[in-house]
Amino acid sequence: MRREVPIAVTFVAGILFLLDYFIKIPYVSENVVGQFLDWAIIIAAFALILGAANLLRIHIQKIIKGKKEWWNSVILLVAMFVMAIIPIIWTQQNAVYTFLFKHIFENLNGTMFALLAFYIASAAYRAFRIRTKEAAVLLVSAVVVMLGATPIGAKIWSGFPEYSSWLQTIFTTAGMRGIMIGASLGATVTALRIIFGIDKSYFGGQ
Amino acid sequence: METLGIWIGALGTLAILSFLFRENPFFRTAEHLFIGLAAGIGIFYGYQTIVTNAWNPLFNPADGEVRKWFLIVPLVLGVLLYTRFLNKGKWISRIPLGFLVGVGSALAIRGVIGASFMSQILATMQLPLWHTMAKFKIDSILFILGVIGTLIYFYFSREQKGPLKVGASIGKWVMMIAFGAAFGNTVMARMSLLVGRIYFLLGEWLHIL
Repeated sequence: MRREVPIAVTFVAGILFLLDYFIKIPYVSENVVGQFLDWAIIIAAFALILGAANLLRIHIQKIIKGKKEWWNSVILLVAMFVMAIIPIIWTQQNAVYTFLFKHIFENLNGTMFALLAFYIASAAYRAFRIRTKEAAVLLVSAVVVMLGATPIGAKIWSGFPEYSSWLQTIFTTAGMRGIMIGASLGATVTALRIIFGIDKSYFGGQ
Repeated sequence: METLGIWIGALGTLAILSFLFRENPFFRTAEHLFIGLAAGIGIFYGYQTIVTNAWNPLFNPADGEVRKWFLIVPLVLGVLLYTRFLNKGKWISRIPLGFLVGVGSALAIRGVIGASFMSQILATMQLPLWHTMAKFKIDSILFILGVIGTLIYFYFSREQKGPLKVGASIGKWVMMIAFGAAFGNTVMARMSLLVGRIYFLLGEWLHIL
């Protein structure tokens, strides 16, 4: 019962939604199966709030138990509530919400991703150490693309932007297309395994 | 108010960048603040999605619109997700999860059959062989060889020797160029974000630039 019912729901929802792509059944397609995507969006919205509820549970426990740096949990929860409650009660145009979004969230978000520039530089150092022919090709391709995208590249040699574009149009597109075709076959097989209940890993270890 | 915002933004930026030195309390505080704000935004968008797509069409339909009774199903399934906090009824949360996974899997098949599989193959097959795609006349041939070579590289049902080995080798080199170009693009994107942050610190905050 505990495993069979969810597997049956997965099968029915998956197979009906898949068949609906090929066969349209009057009334059922329009009012039930045709609505499955909207239903999934609604359930996913509940799941999003579930994630926040889990965050709430974990950080309340940290505060109650007075764990190390518990004040960070207070900051997290206050920020979460303020950011959620203000637009719900008032609107997203509220001055406090706009202030928090523009001056704090946008700056922190931008810096978090900018931080990756340093890690990518360190990864580049490891990846581009020319030990093999493959690494050399990787290096040349990356350097051409980087120089092609910067004004200094065009100053060094006017061909950089042109060859950067050529590399991306021909080789990047060809490589990615081959990978995409192969991955789509893999995705189809994995999805079918899930729908038919062969792959049940999404239930976790419960 | 604007100045206060710039100061808070600048201090937050510095707190996060301080992670480059090593993990420290300032970074952890900024990190918690960031996660809290992001989670709050997530809650709001979740709430808005539920109200707009389920609650209002079911309980407060607009004038002239039919009440959508079927929407009671996703609302109930959504609430069932929260049974994972119960000790005995935890398994019930797998039912809406199963629905999500089932629809998601079917959606993946529907998506990839058309856009990622058939369209990509057709687009490759329809290329004129002697055609200037980007720069040289043999570009189309290089392109087609690249796609086929990449596919062969991932073909593991037979030992890669003879023509298969040649094809796989072509695929390997094409992918190396592709990954190098993708890596170069990623580096440039991250660098442009970093430049943006430096402009913010030196321009808007310190007024040096």
